[in-house]
Amino acid sequence: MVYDIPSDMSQAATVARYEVLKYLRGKKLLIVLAIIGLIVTLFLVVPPALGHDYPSDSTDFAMQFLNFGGLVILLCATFFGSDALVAEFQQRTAFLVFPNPVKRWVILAGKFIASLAASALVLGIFYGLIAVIVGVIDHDVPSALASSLAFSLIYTVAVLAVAYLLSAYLKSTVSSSILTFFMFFLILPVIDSVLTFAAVKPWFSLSFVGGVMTYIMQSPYPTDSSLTVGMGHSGMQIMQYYPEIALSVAVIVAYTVVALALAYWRFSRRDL
Amino acid sequence: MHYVVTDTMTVIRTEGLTRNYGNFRAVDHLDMEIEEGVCVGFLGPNGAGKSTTIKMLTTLLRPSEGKAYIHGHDVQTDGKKALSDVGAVVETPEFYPYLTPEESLTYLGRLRGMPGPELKKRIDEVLELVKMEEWRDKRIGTFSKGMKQRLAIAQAIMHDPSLIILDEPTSGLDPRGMVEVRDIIRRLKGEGKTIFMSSHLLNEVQEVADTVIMIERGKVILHDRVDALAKYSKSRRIEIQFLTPQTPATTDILKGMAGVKSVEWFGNTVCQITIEGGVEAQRELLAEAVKKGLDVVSFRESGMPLENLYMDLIKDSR
Repeated sequence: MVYDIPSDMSQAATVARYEVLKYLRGKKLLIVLAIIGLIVTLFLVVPPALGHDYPSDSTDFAMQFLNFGGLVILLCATFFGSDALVAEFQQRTAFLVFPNPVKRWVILAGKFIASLAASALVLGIFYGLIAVIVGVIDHDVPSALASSLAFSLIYTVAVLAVAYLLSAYLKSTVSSSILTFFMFFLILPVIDSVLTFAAVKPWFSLSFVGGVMTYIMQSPYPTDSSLTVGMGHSGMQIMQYYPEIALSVAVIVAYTVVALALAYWRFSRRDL
Repeated sequence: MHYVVTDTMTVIRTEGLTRNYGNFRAVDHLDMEIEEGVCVGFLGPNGAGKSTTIKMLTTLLRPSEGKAYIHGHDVQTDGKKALSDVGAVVETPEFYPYLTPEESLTYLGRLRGMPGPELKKRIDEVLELVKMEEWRDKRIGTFSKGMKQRLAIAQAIMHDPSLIILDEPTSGLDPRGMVEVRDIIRRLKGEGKTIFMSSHLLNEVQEVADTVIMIERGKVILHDRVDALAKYSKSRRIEIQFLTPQTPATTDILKGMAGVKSVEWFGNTVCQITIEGGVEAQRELLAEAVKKGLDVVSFRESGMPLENLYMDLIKDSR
């Protein structure tokens, strides 16, 4: 019997729904939330335990938490994105799904929507906790926190897109997860540091532009500066670069488009 | 040139379908047509290109050259329409371990656009058919290969497709499971479905298939009805049982008879003779054995016609 096959968008929604179910039933969502709980708890427990007060300025207090925002996004990309495509091939579930009347880009889109939804949930909880804690302790919630959340969400799209790209090309879920994590945790930050040391602003680096989510809390927004260390001939100038918001958004869009296009190209041609 | 099948009776059509893996050509300009309502056994030795062909038909693999059409739709360029009325089991698929059989079937049914109440009814029916109803709400992660294979068959027939493509459908099943799957295939055949089934099990194919396609090195070497296969057979095997133990002299007598190619003994009262020719040669052999005073108590063809033919054709093509 030939049924009225649903539209591509409707099928993508179905794929997304069942992917979200995977996160809910698996331990991934739980692990990410546990790590967030640990970060927040440490920030609440350690300062008083060492005899320090919490920052009295709500923006400073919120920024302490937001320094870990990049790590939270990276965990989301690693747990929800890095194995999304490769697992279909490695775990042979593609043999079940692909012979159905559903296009591969629809499968990719559904999975990506689910990854994004799970990441947005995690970020929502993270920012929600920051707002509650800062609000309770400092009696003020900085309005820039909303801008930071908005930026972190679009930054997550790009990081997930890169994770999907790796997932489309690599052959195992483990290698894809490890490479995704270390790319953003180590490799790109090291490149950013080296470029900065060489007085080259890494405006094109995805990890560099991620800093906007913290800097956006500051008013005025920080601008590039230099610092001279040492005296006389041995003095050395160290540059301090800050990502520009508009340019960073453009970089994020470029990474997202290119990474997803390449991921789709590979995913749609990957044979079983 | 874009090809559009005009003959509505043709369900599967391949034109020069080819797949290369580096320098190795797994499927070599395969041309075949499968008509509606026919159960086709797709046979060949390991590496002949059976699974590769099935993967290309189900969009799991892209052809290096050529085209494949299902119900007139190009599988590569119009896969959504081509697969809309197809149920497939390719190898032993894995299911998402975090889902139950009922959830897995619901997921696939929704992708196919099956409406809710009908989907639920069909899930009940197919789970009962593959004897998985008591496992319907257990997570699939712990299921055996055989259970997954049953479930794979359930998902392939859930949407009542007119074309069912099965790649080694009894793989991983115990003997009872194999019989049950064959019964399901017979039932589907009785409902007028077109079935395209690869298998290593020749008895399985001979029992259920109407037509056989044999491939070797990616090329079709035989495509005909099962009941017409005898004409291709160049030799047949006959098992003879004697009343009393025989001596080497009997071997000499048998080898001296017209058309006898070889004689192989199983103990000293039973032998298997390979003869050239068809039923005529078989009749003459029996008459001559009786005429020469051999105390024959049983004389019958051994092995299945399809098995004998398979061995002949594969041997010839190597």
